[in-house]
Amino acid sequence: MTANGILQIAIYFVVVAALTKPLGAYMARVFNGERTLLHPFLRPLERLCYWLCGVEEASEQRWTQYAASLLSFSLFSFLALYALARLQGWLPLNPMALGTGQAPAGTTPMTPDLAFNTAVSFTTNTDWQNYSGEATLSYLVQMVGLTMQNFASAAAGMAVAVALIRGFARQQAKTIGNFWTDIVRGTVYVLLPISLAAALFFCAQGVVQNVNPYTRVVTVEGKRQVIAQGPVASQEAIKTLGTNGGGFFNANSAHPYENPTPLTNMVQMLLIFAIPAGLTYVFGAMTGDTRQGWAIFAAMSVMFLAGVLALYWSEQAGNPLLAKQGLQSAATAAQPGGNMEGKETRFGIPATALFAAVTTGASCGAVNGMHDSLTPLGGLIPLFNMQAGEVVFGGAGAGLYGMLLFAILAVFIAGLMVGRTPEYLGKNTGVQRCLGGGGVSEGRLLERGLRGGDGKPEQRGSARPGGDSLCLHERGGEQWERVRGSQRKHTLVQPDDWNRDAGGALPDHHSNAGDGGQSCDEKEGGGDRGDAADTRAAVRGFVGGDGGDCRGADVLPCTVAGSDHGALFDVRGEVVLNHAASD
Amino acid sequence: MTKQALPGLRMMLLMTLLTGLVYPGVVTGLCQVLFPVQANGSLVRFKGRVVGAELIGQDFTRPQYFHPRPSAAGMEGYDAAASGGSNLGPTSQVLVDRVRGAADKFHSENPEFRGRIPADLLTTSGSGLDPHVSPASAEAQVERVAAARGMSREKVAELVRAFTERRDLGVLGEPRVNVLKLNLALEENSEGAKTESLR
Repeated sequence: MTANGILQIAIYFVVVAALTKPLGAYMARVFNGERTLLHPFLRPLERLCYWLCGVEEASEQRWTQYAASLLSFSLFSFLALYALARLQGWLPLNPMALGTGQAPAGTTPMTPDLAFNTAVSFTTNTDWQNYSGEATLSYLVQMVGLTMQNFASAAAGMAVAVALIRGFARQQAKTIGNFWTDIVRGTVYVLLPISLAAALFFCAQGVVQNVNPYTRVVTVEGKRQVIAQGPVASQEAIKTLGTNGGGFFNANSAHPYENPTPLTNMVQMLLIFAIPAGLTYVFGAMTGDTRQGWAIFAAMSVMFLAGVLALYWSEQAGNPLLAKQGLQSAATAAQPGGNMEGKETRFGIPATALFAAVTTGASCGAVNGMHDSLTPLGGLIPLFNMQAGEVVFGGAGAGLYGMLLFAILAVFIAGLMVGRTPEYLGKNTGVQRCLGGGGVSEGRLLERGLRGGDGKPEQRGSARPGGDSLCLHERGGEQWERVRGSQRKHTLVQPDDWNRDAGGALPDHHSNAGDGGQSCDEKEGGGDRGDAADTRAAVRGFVGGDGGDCRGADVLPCTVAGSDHGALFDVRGEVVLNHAASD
Repeated sequence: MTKQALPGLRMMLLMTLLTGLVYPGVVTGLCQVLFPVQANGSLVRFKGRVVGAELIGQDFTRPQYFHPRPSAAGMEGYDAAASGGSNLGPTSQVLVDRVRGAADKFHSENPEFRGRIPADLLTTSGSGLDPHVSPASAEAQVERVAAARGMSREKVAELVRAFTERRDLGVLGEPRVNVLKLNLALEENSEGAKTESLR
């Protein structure tokens, strides 16, 4: 490993970290429908999109409608791409007559299975290439089919991530946003402007952008060379920004027309991580606690940096079998050393190793060197990144929600290990919803319980294991059951008592939650107490937080205190997007 | 689901229009106006005819030219309509044999060369169209080229230095030499012909 190599990796990471907040804050504004700097220019386009599609901008969808919208959009996208690929021989912008009888030798037709594979792959943002771009696809399919899918699948991924964030962030809402406005906003304000700027930059650096037939030249030594062309720059930008990865050419970002300089290489890697990293900030911003976003960012960063350094080290160490043939394995000032099989001279080892870690971490799939030819340990890192679910920043949208599932799982398991109700962002996981409905009061209770009394949770924890102000949550299973029973009883038999207990029909339910918590505190302050009183306090706490048991008005208490009606796990521990909306 | 179907179709058509036709169309228009040379492939004209593209490697086998890296693109290498790498794994016997063959060939072509051969010169690139070699790989061929051309070693080495590109912004990527540009510079030196980009 060389100092310069480490420096390149460090520069990359610093720029990613620096981009996260501004881009994340911008995206949060966009998806909240707030005004941004680009609104004067792009707002008319956004409105035009709604008008053309008959979308009510202000309307919101329950998660079922949101999911149905996503599915219908993806279904039509898939059908359109399949049809385009199959019909390319009859369509324009096909100067090489690909897919027809006049196609040049060595090209491959778009057979039904290949078109099916390609359509599924690009609609789902998988974007693997089971074909060689320059030998299979017309310019029209590359643009109208693949470039469009690069936008659409990225926008859909972002939409799902934002919907999930809303599920975390919202209180008592039955809706999680509107899929149509989310993908229009994501496309118009985020993907299109950045792609346009990036495409122009790429072209200035040498990426081609034309619809010419392939250039036929006779080389200096008199050999014939056919040089594939195409509208590459426009696709290159969204290929990386949308973490799609399906290259215009077979060699993807190793191809000099896709990635001509180390500078374009750096920009492509930045584009790959920009949205996934920014979404961690969006997560923090929209849930009201940016530290939660940075915690996710930090977890991703640790995995990323460990991976990239291991990958770089292994590739730079080179291949001893080739060194035996007289090949220089050590890097010098004038040559790269290391394992250069499948790597480009202009990138060398560090920029290729970095790209490999970035693209597999982000489920992008673009490559600037051939991963098949990586050293064994070097190849282990991309495999690890992929098998970890591609959550090391991850795909546009997919990375965040993948990582959030891990966070929930970790919180759940850790909660079970310490005997405390697992909770993430004030939402308990794996608890019956009627209890969890008061996520807020529960969160507050937890807080109070931890802070209450002598204010030293660890002392309290050890002094009185299994019972304290939390009444419910820090209690062992036996009492838990009892409490649950009594809660159920309350729920079924005495709904009216709830409100009375919790402060009657107080309009300010926030204070209800407080009440519940307080009574717990008081009890705790009072030292030993009966289980019945305990339970009652607990129930009151929950009821208080349950927003007039959520049968009440729209002004719900939990709203103030940062809770939600919904939990991410239902009572059977099954993952659902949002209980509030699924009710 | 049925209620969402119609908007789904309309949105798909709208996105196709906006991101599949308008966006690439605008980019194509702007690039053709702003960066016509790059947008059309950075083609290089020499003695009045197009001999290749600055960014796309091409094969050189004659002793008076600098040779590029081996290529896995197409059947014979440097097929610019069939990019790709060898995809050979590090323990592949095919790879080891190929590298041994390339090393033997290099030594027979450059009998004066001593030491270890630069890593890039015996390996195929990811694209098979790598237009560059490392400065050390160019340096290793200077003796042969100078002898074949009847030029002084210093003069050829001077050209190599002149055509060595530094890292981008001083840090990014690797130093490199564009083989086509260097070889055309050699030709210019010998014949006084002029290389020009297609501007």
